[in-house]
Amino acid sequence: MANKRGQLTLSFNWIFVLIAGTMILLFFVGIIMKQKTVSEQKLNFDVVTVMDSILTGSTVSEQTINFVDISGLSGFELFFDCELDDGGGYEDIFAQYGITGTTASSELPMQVLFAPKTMEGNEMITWSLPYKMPFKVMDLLMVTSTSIKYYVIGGKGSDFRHDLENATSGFTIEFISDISEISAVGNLFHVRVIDLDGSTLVDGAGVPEELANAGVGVVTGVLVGSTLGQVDYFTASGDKWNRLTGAGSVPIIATGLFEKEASLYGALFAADDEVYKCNMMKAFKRYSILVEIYQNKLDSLSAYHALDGPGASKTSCKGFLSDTTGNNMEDTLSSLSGELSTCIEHGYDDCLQVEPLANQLHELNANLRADTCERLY
Amino acid sequence: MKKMNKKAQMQMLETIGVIFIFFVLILFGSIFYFKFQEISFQNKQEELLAQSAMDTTLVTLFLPEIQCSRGDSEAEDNCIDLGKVRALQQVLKENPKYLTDYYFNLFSYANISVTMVHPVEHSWTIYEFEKVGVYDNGSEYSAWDRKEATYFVVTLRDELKGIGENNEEFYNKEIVYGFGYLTVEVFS
Amino acid sequence: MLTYKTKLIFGYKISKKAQAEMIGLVVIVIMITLGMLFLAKFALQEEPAKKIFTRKGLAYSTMSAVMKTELECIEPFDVDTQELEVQDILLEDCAKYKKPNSGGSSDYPCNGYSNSCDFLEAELTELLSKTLGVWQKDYVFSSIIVDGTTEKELVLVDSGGCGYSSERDSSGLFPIYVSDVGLVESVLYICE
Repeated sequence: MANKRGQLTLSFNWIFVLIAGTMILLFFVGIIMKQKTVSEQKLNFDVVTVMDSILTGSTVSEQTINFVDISGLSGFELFFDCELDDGGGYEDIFAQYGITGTTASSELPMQVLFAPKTMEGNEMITWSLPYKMPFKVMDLLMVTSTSIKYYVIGGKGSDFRHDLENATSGFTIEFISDISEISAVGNLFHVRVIDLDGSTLVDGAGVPEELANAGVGVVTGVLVGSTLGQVDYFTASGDKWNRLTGAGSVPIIATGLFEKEASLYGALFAADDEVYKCNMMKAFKRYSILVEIYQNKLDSLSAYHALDGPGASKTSCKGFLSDTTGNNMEDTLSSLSGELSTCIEHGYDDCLQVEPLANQLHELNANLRADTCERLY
Repeated sequence: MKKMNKKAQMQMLETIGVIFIFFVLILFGSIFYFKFQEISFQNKQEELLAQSAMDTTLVTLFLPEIQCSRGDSEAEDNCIDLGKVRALQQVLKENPKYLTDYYFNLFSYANISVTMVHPVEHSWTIYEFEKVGVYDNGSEYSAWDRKEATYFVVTLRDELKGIGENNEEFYNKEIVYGFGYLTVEVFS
Repeated sequence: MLTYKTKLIFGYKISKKAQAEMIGLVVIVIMITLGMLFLAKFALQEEPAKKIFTRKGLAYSTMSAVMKTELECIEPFDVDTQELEVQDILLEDCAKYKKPNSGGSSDYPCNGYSNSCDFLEAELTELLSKTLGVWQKDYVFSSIIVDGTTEKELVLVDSGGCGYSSERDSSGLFPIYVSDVGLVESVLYICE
């Protein structure tokens, strides 16, 4: 009689191998999937960490344009966000940047960063300019990419256009005389039209054929006022320009004393009016703290030049610092402090009065220098 | 009487033995891998701390609150205005909220100080925010694991030549440009 | 009787016990190789970026600060003190003093030193030792007159130890032009 014990052993072996093998495979596949997720998260985190350092380094290298190779990030879309809540004041700001569609992001509670809402490309361009009112408040950073094209139209022969042309070497920027020179969007991620004479960006006017019907938000525009004192933001909706600044133009708050006014240049790179105002509120907060510091420094200078102080011999200095006859540093700083408190609490539209006070401060400081007194800044 | 054959039982033991050894090897591999991950993680922590130290130092060196200004011209490199340092100290003392609500976003857990070496030895703390924990009884303890200190030699400009607030004198020399260093310590 | 795992090939008994032994050896070799690779990874790591950044930045910032520093000078038989900037006054005077055929007189024989060069060397030694020295950095500060192909040393401050070090960073040259003398170049090296 045949013995069937061997058949049983053979079948059992195969079944055992199948089950055990499958379990081991599943175990390892599970580990691999988990590691893949962790690895992706780690990579995203690394990207944001490196971006933090790049942005910090770029910010402190003022007046310098940096070209950063981000070809390794092709496929990743970066987003830059600055939102103002209803209040519009500093306390209502929420700003961050990161990689779209992931949790990798970094908040920007203090850093001023003018950038498009989203960005992709092989090369990122960063440009930092000091915001002086009239002393340096902070560096304003502009971020763009070589895949974002800028068309500058109008203002031919003007100093601003000339300065912009000289400053933006290496940018994907074209200075044109006529709208017909604009070419199709093609592979560009974004197109921005900078209108310096109001000939192109008009609410309801037609968008150039080459740019018409590009995707939502791909084509935007900035209209710079003739006095460089205000800007308006536009976006192309289908084949028509649509003005975003419905509540009125955005005033540029700057002394006008310096060749490159950071707040004006920042407006050219900001995504829209909300992003611009939101970032400027951060600058005004910093400004308010700096004013307090200078007020304190002024107290020391005033004490130094007081009648019983070591600098009493320089009588004219005291006059510029805190003379009771008006138009002195102490009163100006005090007014500035008051205006900035209002500005920070209520929003950008209440910040306009800081400009004349900043100019006054500049004049007083120049007077100090002329009289060989110690300057405030 | 049938002769019992124990070949199948031997076969089973062998299979179990092989699987057991296999899992022991897996275990060794896992221990090795996780140990490697732990060391990698610690290295990463150190790298991040070093990066944070560099970034904080850079930001401090170019901080408008303490950087020497020259009117409308560009700020002086590697120079700290002692008048502004004293003023900043005073402002932070009067408004401790600035430390927690504002400058913490810039510097995080760090100690930043300016030390003068010439003409006299003196130190000013600009920012102090050490990572501390609190015991149940309310006493504090240092809660940081690592500390990274960076030093940068800087020029210290004092236009009032050693005369501080309220005209107190902390050096009696007509020196405007002194010599000192900036210390930035970051914690993790 | 056939033993476990033997079979007949061409009528000869073949045992596979050796193959099993080989697999065990292979596993051990693989594990040792992996271990060595990981060790190598950690051992061959390049110098951290922070170290290089701070050394380069420190060299430049130290040099910049040294050049702008004002030193207090009390001349012999003089009650009043003078505050003299290192680069614009003292180094210039030192260059004029050490220039060949200069007649050997210095305008600033400060604090008991016969000339500004010795005074500078002493003061800089103190300043650098209180900063770089305390942080255990080795350094060399050097200031020379460059006259065509010839060089004349003006000031040298050497902490020792820089000569043996391969890791060193320079502040870059800080040149000044001194009339009747020529180009004076100063540099600071910091080593680990």
